[in-house]
Amino acid sequence: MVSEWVAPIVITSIWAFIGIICPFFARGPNRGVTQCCLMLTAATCWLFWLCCYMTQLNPLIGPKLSMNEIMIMAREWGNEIKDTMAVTV
Amino acid sequence: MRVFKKRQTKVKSFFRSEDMDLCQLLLHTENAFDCLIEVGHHGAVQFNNVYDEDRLLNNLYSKKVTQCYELLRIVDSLHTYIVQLHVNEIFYPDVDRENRLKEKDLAKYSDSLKRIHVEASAVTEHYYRLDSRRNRMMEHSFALNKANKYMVSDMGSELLYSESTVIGLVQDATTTSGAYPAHLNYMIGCIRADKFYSFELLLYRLCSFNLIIRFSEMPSPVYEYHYGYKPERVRKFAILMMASSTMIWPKVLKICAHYHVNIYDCPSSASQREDKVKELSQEIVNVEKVLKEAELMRRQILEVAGRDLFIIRVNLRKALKVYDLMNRLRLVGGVEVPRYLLAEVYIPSSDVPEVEVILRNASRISGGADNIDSSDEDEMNDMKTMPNTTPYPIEADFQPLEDMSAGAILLKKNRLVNHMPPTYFRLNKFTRGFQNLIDAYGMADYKELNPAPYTIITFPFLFAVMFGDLGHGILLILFSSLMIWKHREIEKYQINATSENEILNILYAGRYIILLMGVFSVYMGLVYNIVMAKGFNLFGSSWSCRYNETTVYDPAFHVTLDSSHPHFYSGHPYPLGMDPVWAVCGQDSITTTNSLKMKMAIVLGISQMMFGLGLAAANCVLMNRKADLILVVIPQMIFMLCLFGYLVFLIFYKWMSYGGHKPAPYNAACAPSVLITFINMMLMKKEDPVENCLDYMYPNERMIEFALVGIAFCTIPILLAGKPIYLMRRRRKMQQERERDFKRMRRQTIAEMRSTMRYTDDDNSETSRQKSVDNEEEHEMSEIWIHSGIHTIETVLGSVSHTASYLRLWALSLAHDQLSDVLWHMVLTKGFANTLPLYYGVPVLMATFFAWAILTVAILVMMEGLSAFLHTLRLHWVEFQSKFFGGAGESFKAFNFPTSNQRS
Repeated sequence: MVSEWVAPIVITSIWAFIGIICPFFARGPNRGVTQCCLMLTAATCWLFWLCCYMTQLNPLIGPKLSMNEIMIMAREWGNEIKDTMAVTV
Repeated sequence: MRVFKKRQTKVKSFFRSEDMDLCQLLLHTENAFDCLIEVGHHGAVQFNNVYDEDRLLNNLYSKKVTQCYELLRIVDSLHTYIVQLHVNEIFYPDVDRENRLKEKDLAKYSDSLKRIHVEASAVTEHYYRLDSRRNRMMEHSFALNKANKYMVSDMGSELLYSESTVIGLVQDATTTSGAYPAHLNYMIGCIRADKFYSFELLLYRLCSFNLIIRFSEMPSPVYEYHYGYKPERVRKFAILMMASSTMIWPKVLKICAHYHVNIYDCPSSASQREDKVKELSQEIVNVEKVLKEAELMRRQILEVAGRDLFIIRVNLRKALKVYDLMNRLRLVGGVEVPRYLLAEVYIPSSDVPEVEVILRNASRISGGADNIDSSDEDEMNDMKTMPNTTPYPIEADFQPLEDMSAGAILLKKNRLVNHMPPTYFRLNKFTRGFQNLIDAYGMADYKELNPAPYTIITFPFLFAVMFGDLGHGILLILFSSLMIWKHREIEKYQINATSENEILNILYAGRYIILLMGVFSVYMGLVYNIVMAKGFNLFGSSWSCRYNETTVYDPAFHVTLDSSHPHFYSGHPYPLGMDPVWAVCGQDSITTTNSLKMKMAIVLGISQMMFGLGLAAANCVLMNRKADLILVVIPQMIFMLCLFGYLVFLIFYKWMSYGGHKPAPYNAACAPSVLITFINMMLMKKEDPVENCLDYMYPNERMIEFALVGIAFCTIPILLAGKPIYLMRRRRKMQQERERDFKRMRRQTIAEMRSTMRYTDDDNSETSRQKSVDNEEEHEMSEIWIHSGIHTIETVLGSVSHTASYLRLWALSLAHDQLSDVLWHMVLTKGFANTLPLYYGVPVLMATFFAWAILTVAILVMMEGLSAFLHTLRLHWVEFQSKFFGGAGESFKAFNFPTSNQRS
């Protein structure tokens, strides 16, 4: 349960830092433009990440894979298929 | 405090246009030129109404303008000589700073130019005369040589033409034959090659066989000089004409004169001809020596001229501009001796002190001459006041008056004016590119909100949504970083280049835009999980498969992983971006990615449009247009929120509530389509629920939707009738208060009709008179009603079409992704997969890689980048800026001298 919320909390914290905290430290003659850029960057990038994250939060359908793709996934990403039969792909 | 205030002013200058001060500028005729030169270099003063077509010139400086034109003509003439002789004309990059023009310098320029021009012209004329003389002698020598060969060969052999044979030939052609043998007459000359054939034909028709012509081409073309024209290289023919009778010579001579044939003497004996040829050769050698000296002298004079010609040309152009401006200013002062020039100018408020300092310094510089006069007057005062007992107080009173009368005066005007001040933004090299994007659509009104600060981020962001790829983004970053890093060399190249490079100029002006586009594309590449069409697995995929070997080994085996089973989907999404499994499964991922990108396009589009409406509200507050705020902007916001904001809510709600691993009725089978739900909401329709599924997404959904649609449609009458009714009531109130004394309303121009916010009733016209009240009001109110109707229709239909327009974000993103895939699978994979022997396989792989790389840069980065750029530009100009931006202002056109470069 705890690990479920770590990723969105970390990413949201990063963008909140950039969009809310960093504008207070902007200096120089173009302070207003800098603040505007920081806030807009944080808002747009966070919103884009949020859309991408939420569409995968509760997927309606899964991917359709062939034998080769399944074997590659199993070998490269873990859960390697182990059986007594020797296979030459 | 002052520093803080100045900083605040600087910060504000980009979000809204600079404050403008309307000033009156009073210049003394003695130092007006130097003041305007300094003002032109500073470039912060706009002179109003001086370039109108009906502007009357004061003619005080017409002679000066003519003189500058004359001097520039001399400069062009000298430049022509310099180009002819390929003399080096020295280019000074810092001419604007180190050789700044003063009015006294003009006299020096005039004297110097005229002296050099006289010398250069004299030497050139002398050179041309000598060259013509040499050419004539060369022609004479060549013609003599040819004639001598012709005749000597006659005497040497009986087989060729001999004199008696020629005489017989000529006699046979005539009807009358003389009893005694006739003496042969001949003449030599030179003619232009292009005229020879018509000349020969004419002589044949006139003289028939009484005249025989022989010709030979000279070995090299010669120069011909005509006054006022460039020297011309022409081919020449030497001709020999022989006749038996002297009676036809007068006619032949006339024809030769008309054809500009040069006739030369020809001695009768061979020995005399040879002596003449030797004599001519000796003279040619002598003339060539003199020619060489003349050319050296000419070149020296032109080198001296070329040393300063660039500076003189640049400064004369500035002087011409200044004198033309001074000729257009208004003269004030005495009738007999006008002493002051008056101009109405706009200056940015923050620049007014600086302009005052510049004018004071310019007055002081040119006060050197006045100091001498002042000294003389002091001496006269001393002489006059010698018997007086108090000389010092008089002198003390006299000095300040002199200083005051000679200086330039800048006064601010506070009265209201009818026209809108110009728009001026203080930009740096970073913000200039983005401001150019906005100005291409329209210049902001005075003190209107500027879209450019927000475009700095939203433009590259929307571009990256369409273009997003980690590898392609890195390419953009490298290219723009190269231009930023080499900006000094590029600027130097632009200054020194002899011809413009349009593409380089455009890319260089937009280098920071390209940099941000690259940076955001890298971020989108991370989120899309795409680098050159391939994905990567940073955090571990959420999907896995738990089959045994026997099940998987079937080659025809295809499986769709079940999202409801923990063995296949872990329940925790991939933290940053798309799961790499969608890159692995290839084309089958289009369903998922299309769904994501369409929903994401809608969310981003509606967010940007709501942001635009927020800016419209801020604009109304800042410009004190409360009626526009309450009657136009807020109804628009309510309309958008009730309909399309609800659409965004539906998207997020579906993402959160429905999933493959959730129990019915929230599983994949029961998930409703957001689009169908939205359409049913608008049509107030109800559908039968699917088996085992609910007929709503959340409780009381139908009632809420009806309420939202009702509220949205209630705002339409407010949009349509609110503003006109408000204006009618206010006008009636004003009419009653003033008892029919009302201000005439200013008619809207076409430029103002472009603004969706600008049909305000404020009228600053100073003249107000009674008019036919009913006709005037009715006509103007009908205009207002029509405009309000158009605006309402635009708002309602525009909200639908603009939302649909944002779907291009999905379309271009899909196109970019598929093209990238095609290049990978159809080009580079064939190189990887080739089974040739090593010494064949490696070159094939190299060739396919280069083909893939070139096609990637040419198609995916350049063509797709340009396409995404143009679509992003349209999304900003139409969908975003139409919400709040009028764009009907006019830009601040300062009196300014552009930077001098090689071509100026």
